[in-house]
Order: sequence, then structure tokens, then C-alpha cells
Amino acid sequence: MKRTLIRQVHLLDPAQGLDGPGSVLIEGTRLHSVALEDMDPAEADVVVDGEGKYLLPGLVDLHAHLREPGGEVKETLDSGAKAALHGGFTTVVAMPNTDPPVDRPELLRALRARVRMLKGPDILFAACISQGRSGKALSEILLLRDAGAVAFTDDGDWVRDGHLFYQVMTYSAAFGFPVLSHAQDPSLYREGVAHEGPRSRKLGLPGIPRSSETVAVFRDLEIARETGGYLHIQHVSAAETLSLIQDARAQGVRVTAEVTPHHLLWTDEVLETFDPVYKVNPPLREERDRETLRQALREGHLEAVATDHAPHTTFEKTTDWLVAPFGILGLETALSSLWTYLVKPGLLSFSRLVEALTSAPARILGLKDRGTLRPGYRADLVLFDPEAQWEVLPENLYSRSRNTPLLGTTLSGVIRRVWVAGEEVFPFP
Amino acid sequence: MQRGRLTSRHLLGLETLPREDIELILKTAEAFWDVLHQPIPKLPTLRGRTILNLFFEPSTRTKASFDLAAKRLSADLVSISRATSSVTKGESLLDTLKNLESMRIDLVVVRHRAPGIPHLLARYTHAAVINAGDGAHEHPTQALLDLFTLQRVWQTLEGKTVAIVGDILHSRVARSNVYGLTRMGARVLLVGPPPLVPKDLALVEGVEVAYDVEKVLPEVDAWMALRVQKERLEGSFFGSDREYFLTYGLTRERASRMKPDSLILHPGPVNWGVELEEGIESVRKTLILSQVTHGVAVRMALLYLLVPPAEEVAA
Repeated sequence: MKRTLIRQVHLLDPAQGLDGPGSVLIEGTRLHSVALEDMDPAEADVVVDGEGKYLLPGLVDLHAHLREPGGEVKETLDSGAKAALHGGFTTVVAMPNTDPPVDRPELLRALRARVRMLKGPDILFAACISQGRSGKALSEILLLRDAGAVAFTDDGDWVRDGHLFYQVMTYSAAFGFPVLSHAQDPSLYREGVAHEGPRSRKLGLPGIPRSSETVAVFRDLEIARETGGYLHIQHVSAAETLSLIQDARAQGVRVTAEVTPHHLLWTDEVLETFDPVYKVNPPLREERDRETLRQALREGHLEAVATDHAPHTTFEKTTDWLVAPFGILGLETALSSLWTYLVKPGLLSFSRLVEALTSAPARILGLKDRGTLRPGYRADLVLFDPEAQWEVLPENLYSRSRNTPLLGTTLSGVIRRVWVAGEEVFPFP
Repeated sequence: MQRGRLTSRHLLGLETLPREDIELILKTAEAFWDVLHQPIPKLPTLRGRTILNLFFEPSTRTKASFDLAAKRLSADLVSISRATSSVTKGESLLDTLKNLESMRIDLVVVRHRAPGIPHLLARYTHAAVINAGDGAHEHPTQALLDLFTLQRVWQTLEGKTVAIVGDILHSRVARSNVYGLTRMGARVLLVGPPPLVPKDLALVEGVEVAYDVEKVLPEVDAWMALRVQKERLEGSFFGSDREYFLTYGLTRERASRMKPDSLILHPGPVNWGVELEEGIESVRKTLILSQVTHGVAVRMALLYLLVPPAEEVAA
């Protein structure tokens, strides 16, 4: 079997507390040995010098919209896979709100067969809780699980029907998969397009109040408490949501939560630009929300960072604020933007950021073969150059879409190489 | 007349418009008001200059007012009205942005249902841009004509109390008037049913929010009623238009308890029997029709001040 040695590199694996110079030997698809010391290059067929760079476990994204089938003009599994690798993601969970939605085992099997043809990250699939994402009838949860669904969600919409949500949570309790909740009560925001607060009032934009999130989270938590199911709250945006989650967790409710890079980076101040590139759901809220999210990420109350990578065409995103679709790209810029704007200025430790992008999401998905650098685990690895810079220009992105507010900016932190199951898949040949 | 200059190339809103600019606009409007009352109410001032009226949202009076203002100044006028469906909206906006650049327009008057569209246009075109209403955000020309109307009666707005009454939440007229009135020294009260007057809509320090009409009546020098969109609000923001009329409408009886020389304004069109009771003009002075005629003078002033001088365009 082929052996690749990566040596003289800074190993960072928060799950085991590894943080220092060392080396990693890959054998075939798996990690053979990991050590905070040098290894003999003679042992390997290929030797990579990692001087001045970090070696991280491959990143795991809990939340990406890869748009296939139905939205191929925005993204495909191929372009999404490339974008993921460019951003250091070796595992990506694709959301099922496609057209048609992933609510049948036949479609899920077909998509997984597509993915196996791609040389790229491990693309996993979440399936719909309800048939057609209509929120009315339960989908074939067990058949979808057998077909490979790693989680269930009606992402894009909250499951308004409490009975339906209760049922899927009993399945979760019995089989252990996470239920990912887009927790937002639509009756509390109706036509809303921006965080409801002084700024949306001033600009005349219909608001989405914090209560639309907290009300939904509270119901979900109570159902998780009663059923014993595993609840994962997607893209937390409001400060008050954190105390609900922390209280429930302290009382034994099985709940985890994610935060997106954009909710960590921006606030509703950007509404003043009227540029719909910032239009996202849940909305960018106020400074106190952003600060609470950052604090909760530091302290681990928000376990994971998930991109909510949501590609849209430039055509759709350069219209007016009311009709532009919600969503911001995330796969390609998550690590470097958070490195640049949170880690470098000392607002977040790199170790905590990497944990939130690797072992934490792997644990949420119940994936026991990745997220950390242990012998026998999948050789999913990222070589990260912390000093280099790159420009977020259209020609530097692999996504089919360009809807990121970071376009035109320069970020620190470049992903030099990516291995998936022992094979070097980035840079692209 | 000596042409003064505004501090901005565009009129996007009153939020940041300095008081000196407002004063210059009102002073210029006064001069055009006189012109409008001459036997031939037309000037050659903007001959050869091109103005584009771009109305993405239906409008009768604002558009007519801008049309007339442009014609009274002898400008060439192109009008595009497109009540777009939400499906085609994106298309028309992008196209418009691109086409504008190639049409050599001097000034664009734009109305759109979405906040911020005039601001985006201003960013992408070389023409001067006037906001004729962007969603629920701002309607600066309406507020300026309201200021003009009040100032013509009062000479100064300093120390006067103006109540803006009704659906503040969805009103661009209210937002622009809050900025304009306060900047000119008036005290502003926002009055209406609680869901339509959220406290954080007191956009400027000192602006007060009141929910009890009876308490504010004796204090106000002007009652500015806003149009209530019954279809949209009834059963959701208040119970019925009857309830609205009885609680926030200006009845003849209520008007009689206002100061004797107080004024009544309304941006139109009035829902009689909802915002105002019929016959109100026999109780207190209403300025509703003068608001309309003042609108032409104010818009002439804005076109005059904002169309760039020919020599600049040539250069």
C-alpha cells in the first residue's frame, strides 16, 4: 500500500490535544501513525515537507446546499465538491431542500451513486423529515436511513406541525440520528427580510424578530426532552437562543447547535449598503447577538461551525432586497475568513475553531472514523498555510456562484493540500 | 436666479440632508412657485437636458407632479412605468442599470417597492438620482413639499409640534418627515395603533411616540394624517376601519379641540371616514390641495438644483 509521510509540520488536533511540530504517516486510505516527533522519510513512498504550515484533520461541514438536483445553475455536486476541497472540507452534509427534495430512498441512492463517481470530499446526505418538505406527512424515515441518510431535516423551513416533529424525534431516540432543525416560526416573521430592530425599522425593511427563532427552539427542545431524541439546532442567530439551549442541555436534553461564519462575522449594520449579498436567513442580527455567538463558540456552547453554504446566481442576488433569495456562500472561505477575522485578532483560539470544524461536527453526525488524527482513522487531512494570503476573486472560486460579501477582499490562510481517504485531491491536477 | 448648490449630487433621502440644503430647496421652490403663477408658467432652464421618470410601482400624483415639473422647465422627459411582477422584477432592474449608462440621462427619478433601489442606482449610474419613494424607507420629495407647505403658513417650523398619525411602520412619508421636520426645528409626535408605531421608529432623538390621541390633541400645531391601507391592515394590525376611525381618525369633534390655528395635512389620497372625517375643513384649516400644487414647485426646484450644469456634462 502507498505510504505518504507529512513531516516537519505543526499538528493541530484539538480532539486529542495535539498542538505542536510532528509528523503523520498515511498508509492507503488510513492514518498509520501520528506523532509529535519526526519520522524516517525512508519509510514512505511520498514525502511532504510541511514546514511553516498546520496539518489539520479534514474539515466537516454539517450544512451545505449543493443544489443538485434542480438548482444546477447555482451549484452541482461537482462544483460543490471542488468548492469544499478548496475550503479544506473533506466531509460535507448536503441539505435535502432540492427540487425534487430528497425525500425518497430512490433519489438518495441515485445521488450517492453520483457522489461515488466524483473524486472529492465525502458528500453525505440529510433527508427530508416530511414528504415533499411540505410539513404535512412523514417521509419514509427508515428507508431513507437504510439508503444512507445521516440526518433528517426540512431545512429551509421549520416543521410547524408539532405532531410531525414529535414523531421524527421518536425515531431519532430509537436510532440515534440527529434531527437538524431550521428553528424559525414563520408566523412570527411572515414577509420578513432582515433582522427586526432599529435598523430595519429605519430602512423600512420587514423584520424577522428574534422571537421567531426562540419560540421555535423552545418547542423543539421540549419535544426533544419528552422523546429523548437528538436535536441539533441549525444556524443559531439570536442571543436569547443560547440560554434556552444551555438550560435544556443542563437538564439532560440531547441538543447541539451550530453557528455560521456569516453570523460570526457581520451584523445588521450591513443593511445600510442595501446590497442583497448580505440577505440571509436567519438574518444577521445586532452586535450583542454576534458577541454572544462568539462567546458561546469560545466556550463550546455552540459546538460546531457550519457554513450554510447557499449558492445563488449573481442575477438573482443583484436585484432588490425584497425579492433577492436568502443565502451566502461559505465552503471556500469559512476557515480563512474565521482565521483572518477571529483567530488572528485573538478573539478565538485556533484550536477551538478547528475543533468546531472537525471533531465536533463528526461527533454530531456520529462519524467514528474521522474528525481527529488517530491511527486507523480515515486519512482526511488539510495542510493549512497560515501566513499566505489569497484574494477572493471570481476567478479564484470553484463554486458556480459568487454570492459572498468577501468577494474582492484579501484573506489570510491558504489551503495548500487536501487528502481524502489517503489520496491527495487538492490542488486539482 | 443665482443657482446655489446642494451638498449631494443625489436626493436619496432626508436622513442625512443638511438643514442648509433643505433651506436652499425651499427657497428655490418659492421662486418657482411664483413662476407657476405667471401667465406662461414655463421656463427654458433645462432645455436639451434629459430626465427619466422610472416608476416601478404605480403612482399617479407623484409621477404627474414630476412630469409637470420637468415640462415646466422645458426638459426632455422619458417615462417608464413598470408595475413588475415579482418574477420579472430582477430582470428589469438589472437591465435598467445597464441601459441607463448608455442613454446619457441627466437625472433619474425612481420609485420602487424595495428600500434602497435609488441608492443602488446612484452607485451604478452617472446620472443624478431623485428618490420618489423606495418601499417603506423614504419619500423625500413628499416630505420637502410638506415642509414647504408648513413653512409658507408658519414662516418657520422652529418650536412647532407636528403629529404624524397612522401607519408609521409602513410609511416612507413618515420616515422622511421625521428627518425633515426635526432638522427644521419642529417637535414630532408619532401617533397610531401600537403595532403600527413601534417604539424604535422614533428615528431621531427627541421624537415622541404616543398612543392616546386625546392627550396629544391640545398640543399639536399640525396634524399630518397618513393613508391607511385598509386591505392590508384590517384584522391584522387593528380590528376594523371603524375602530381605526373612532380611535385614531381625526373627527370634526376632535379637530375642534385642537389649537384654533392648527393645520391638517394628508399626503393623499384620503380615505374619508377613516383617517379624516368629511367636513373637517370647516373646523380647521386643511392644506391637502396646496400640498399637491406645492409639490410641483418643490420638484421643479429639485430638478433645477440637481440636473448637472451643461458644461459639467460636456466636460
